Amino acid sequence: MNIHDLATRPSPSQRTRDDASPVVSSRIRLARNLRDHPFPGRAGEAERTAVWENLRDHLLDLSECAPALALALDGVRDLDRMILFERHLISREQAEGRAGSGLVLRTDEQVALMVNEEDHLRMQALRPGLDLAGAWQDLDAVDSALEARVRFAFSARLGYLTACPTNVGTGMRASVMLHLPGLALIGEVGPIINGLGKIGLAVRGLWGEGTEATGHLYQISNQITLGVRETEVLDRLEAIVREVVEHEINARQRLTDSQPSVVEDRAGRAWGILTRARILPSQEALDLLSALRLGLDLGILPQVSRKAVDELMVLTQPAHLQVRFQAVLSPRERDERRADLVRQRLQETSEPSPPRKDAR
Amino acid sequence: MKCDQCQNAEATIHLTQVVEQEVRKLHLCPACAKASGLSLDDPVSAADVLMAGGLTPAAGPAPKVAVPSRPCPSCGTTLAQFRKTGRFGCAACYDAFRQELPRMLRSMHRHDRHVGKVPGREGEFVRLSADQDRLARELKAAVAREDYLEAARIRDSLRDVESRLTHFSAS
Ligand SMILES: [Zn+2]
Ligand SMILES: [Zn+2]
Repeated sequence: MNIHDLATRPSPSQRTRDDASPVVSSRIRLARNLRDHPFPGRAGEAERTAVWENLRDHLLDLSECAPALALALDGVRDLDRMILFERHLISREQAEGRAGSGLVLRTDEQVALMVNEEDHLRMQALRPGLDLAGAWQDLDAVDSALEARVRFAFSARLGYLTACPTNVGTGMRASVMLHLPGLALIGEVGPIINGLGKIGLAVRGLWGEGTEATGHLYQISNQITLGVRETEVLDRLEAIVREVVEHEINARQRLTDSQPSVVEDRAGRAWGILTRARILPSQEALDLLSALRLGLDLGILPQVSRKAVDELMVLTQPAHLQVRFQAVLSPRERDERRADLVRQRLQETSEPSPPRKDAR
Repeated sequence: MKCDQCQNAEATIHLTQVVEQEVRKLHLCPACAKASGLSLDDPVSAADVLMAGGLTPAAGPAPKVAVPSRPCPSCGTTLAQFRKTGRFGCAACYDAFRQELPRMLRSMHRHDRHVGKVPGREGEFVRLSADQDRLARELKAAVAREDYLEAARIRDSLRDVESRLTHFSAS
């Protein structure tokens, strides 16, 4: 496997089942540091490189994350780092490709281990749908196997010691990505963000901040890492997510009951533009794909493949397009290629009959 | 209660510090506290003064002005750097700036003590350390009641535990 393969295949976190759940994916991240080295922000290049090589060799030995691919990020092209970033496999900080920063990626992309980010190790597990338990199982196994080989910075009182004290304790951040167009359209995302903030959870737009998140994709995550057990955090997050999902489904119902023509109009326009446009900017594409996705979930446009819509949200990002077409593209060229890709994929994967307003 | 420093005014500021496992209490009047560089609005700097040994309960020459937390002895990160970046430089920073921690952690996490996963080997280390403490106590007791046979047996166990602990910190 190489990075070019990634640019053309869907991300596992986007391989949603063909149900209409607003949950897109689940992700857990664990922060760990080696006891006897300064944290990456304080370490020189030679020390960071030594830590990377040491951790890389151990990680490649573990059956828990095999088969895996190890990448020293200062050794790969800018564009390839952007692919990894667009797929949420590395952070923005790591995308800068400083010496000694690296990634060990299980080739199924469900386990991604960043070395020398803010902490020596940021281990992530990703699962499609709502599956925090599955992600935790994967990550806990990798963590336990690794701790038999290296000595983590750990204090009996404070738990795992991290560069930033906001992560100390379990070092665990769990998040669930949700598609919430219903709540966004009736203006209820704001109150939910505020409400969840009060109980120690954060809500962020996947792209963009606040209530105006592009594509209506939101991540809900825990903020507290000290004084609460991992499984307790996960159970609580899952319960909250289920509540938000219920609100979203109610919001969709209210929308279709109170203004059915508006919902159908949005989906129909999205379909029209996406299958006819010749120039498609990234943000517009995401918003339209989001509207299309809502239409599908509500039974409007039944001929469209939901899977294709989800995949396009990942594959139309700038670096993915450029690697797919093996060219450095100007913004205009990118928008043209994006329009071509979307048009082609939607036509390939959809039923031949053209969508009609009354097609339910 | 009278002020420990001037032995005159009423003490309204009460501080506790632990020096070599001994709890020391310090009671000061506002004037003496201020003269010693203790800011009443900032309990952190109060701790700094005590940490730096700038104040002693004994009467005598005027105590030195507050000395801020020292840089981390392991990585050199200073308190000012930490406050600016929000990042520690190494694991030892948690010890170097431990006076800062409880309040900060409570505001971030509403807790100040870990209850989650413990690395397997740390669990082993914790268990061995507990064994070491227990055996040392038993040894003392056996010697005190002149049960030398039992004491010899305990000493062997203790040596075994200690050698495993040494091996631990070496690995
Ligand atoms: Zn006084
Ligand atoms: Zn330090």
